[in-house]
Amino acid sequence: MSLKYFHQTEMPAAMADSAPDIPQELIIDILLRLPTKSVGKCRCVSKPWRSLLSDPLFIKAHLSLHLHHPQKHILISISRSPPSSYLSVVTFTTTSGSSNNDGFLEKLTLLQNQLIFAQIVGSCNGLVLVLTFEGSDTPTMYLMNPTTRELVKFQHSPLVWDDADTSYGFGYDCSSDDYKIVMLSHDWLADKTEGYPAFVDVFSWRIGTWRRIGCFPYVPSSHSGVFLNGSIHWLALSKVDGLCVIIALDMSCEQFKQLPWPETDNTPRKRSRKLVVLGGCLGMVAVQSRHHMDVWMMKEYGVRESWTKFSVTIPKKASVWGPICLLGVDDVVLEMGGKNFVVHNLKERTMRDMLIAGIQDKFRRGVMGFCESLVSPTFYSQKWRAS
Amino acid sequence: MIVLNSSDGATFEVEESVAVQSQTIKHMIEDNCADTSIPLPNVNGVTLARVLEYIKKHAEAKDDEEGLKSFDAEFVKVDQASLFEIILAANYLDIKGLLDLTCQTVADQIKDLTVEEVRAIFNIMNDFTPEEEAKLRNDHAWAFE
Repeated sequence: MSLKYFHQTEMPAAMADSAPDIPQELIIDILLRLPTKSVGKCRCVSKPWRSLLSDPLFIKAHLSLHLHHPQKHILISISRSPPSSYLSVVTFTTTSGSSNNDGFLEKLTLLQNQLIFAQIVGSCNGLVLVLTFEGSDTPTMYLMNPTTRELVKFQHSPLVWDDADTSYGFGYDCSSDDYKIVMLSHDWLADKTEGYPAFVDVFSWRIGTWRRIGCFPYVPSSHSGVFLNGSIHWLALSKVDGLCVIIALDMSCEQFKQLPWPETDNTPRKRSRKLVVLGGCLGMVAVQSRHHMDVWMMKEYGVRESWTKFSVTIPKKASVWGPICLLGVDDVVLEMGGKNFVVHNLKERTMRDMLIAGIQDKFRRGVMGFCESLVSPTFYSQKWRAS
Repeated sequence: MIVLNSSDGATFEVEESVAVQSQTIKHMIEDNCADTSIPLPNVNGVTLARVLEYIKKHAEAKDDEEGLKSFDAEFVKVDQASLFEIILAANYLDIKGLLDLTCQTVADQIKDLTVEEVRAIFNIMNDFTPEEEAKLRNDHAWAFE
C-alpha cells in the first residue's frame, strides 16, 4: 500500500528503536494492518511507538485501510429506572465454529449512571454521537469512540430554541478532515408567520463552534440523519408539495440536494419511514403493517433505477423495529422490540432469533452500528478547550 | 531468460515474463542494465530462491485463485528471521503481492502477542518508567480486554 502519508521529516523524532534490519516504512506497513486493539497494545511498546501510533496521520491511514471491513459492532442504549441507565456494545461474531452464539454484549462504563436515557444519533468513522437527557430540557451531546472508550462532551447549538423540533446528523468532511454535527430545527409556532423556519446549524469539530448555515425549505422528520458517501441524508417533507423526499447535505460544500425516491408512494403517512445504511448502500424502511415491512436499498448511489426492494414478514406477536446492518451478503440484522436481534436471510426469506450472550435488560429503539477505529474525539477538543 | 546473481554469489535463471513481477528488475531490463546478468547485492541466495518460487507460482497459476491462496498460506510458514528477509527482498525488488502477503503475515502473527513479545520481535527497548508504563496500560485498558 502507498505510504505517501509518511515522509522522513513527518515521522516522530526517534525511531532508533526499530529492529535494525527492518526500515521504518515497512514497520509502519505492518502496524497499519493490525486491528484496533492490537494498535492500542502496541502503543505501550515504546515512546516512539506511542507517538507513531497516536499520530493523526497514522490513525487516518489505519482508518482508510480498515473502514470497509464488514461492520460487526452495534451500540445500544439501555434504560432501566434511573440512575442505572447505561450503554453497551453488541459484537456479532462472524466466525462460525466454536461457540453457538451469534454475538455477545459488553457493558460500557462510559456515562454510566449519569443519564436518564441516551439517544444514539449518528455514527461515522468509528465515532458515535450520543444525546443524553440528564434532567434539563436541553440534551447534552457527547462524541465518543466506543472502541477506545474516549468521550467528549459539548453543548447543543445555542442558536436553537428549546421548544423547536430538532433532528440531528453526524458526518465527516474529507476536504477539510473535519467531523461535523448538524442540527435541523423547526419551530412549529413560527410556521404560521414565516415562510421557511427550518434552520440548519453546523458544529465543526476542528473549530469547536456552532454556526447557522441557513434555512431550508423542508420539514425534517424526527429521525436522525445517516451518513453515506460524504453526505448526511434525512427524510423530510417538501414545503412545496407536501410530499416525502430524501435530502442530502454534502459535508464539504454544505449544500442540500434531493435524491430520487424509490418506486413507491411518497405521500406523508402515519406509519413512519426511516433511513438506514445497509451494506454501504442507502436504505429506506417503510413499515406497511404490523406484519409487513418493506426495505428499499439504493444499490447504486443516486441512481433511481437501482432502488431494490425486499420485504420482511414479521411473525405474530413479535415487534420488529427495523434493520440495522448486513452481516455478510444475504443476512440482514433487525432490532426486535428492544429485547433481541433477529437475522433475516434475503435468499431463503427466513428469519431467526439471534443468540446474543449477555443481553439482560431491554434496550431503547435506535441502536447504531459503528466500525472500529482509533479516531480520537479528544484530539481537536483539547485545542478548543485550551483557547 | 534473465540471470540473477545473489549477494553471496548464487546464480538463478528465470524467464523475463516471470521476472518482471519485480518492478525493480523490470526497470533494470528497460534501462538496458541486464545484458549478461543482474546483480542483486541486497538479497542472499536462500531468500532469492524463495522469492523466485513465489513469482514463478504466481505467473504460472495466475487464474487459480484457490490454488494461489493455499500456496501463499504454505509459503509463509517459515521462521521469523526468514520472513523478515523475504519482506526486505520483496521491498527491494518491489514485488507488491509478496510484500502485502508477508507484511500481513507478520501483522497476523503479532496482533495477539503481549507487549513484551512484540518488543522482542522488533528488538525494541522499553524506554518507559514503570509508572509511565502502568499509566499507559491503564489508559489503554480497552486494548487489553
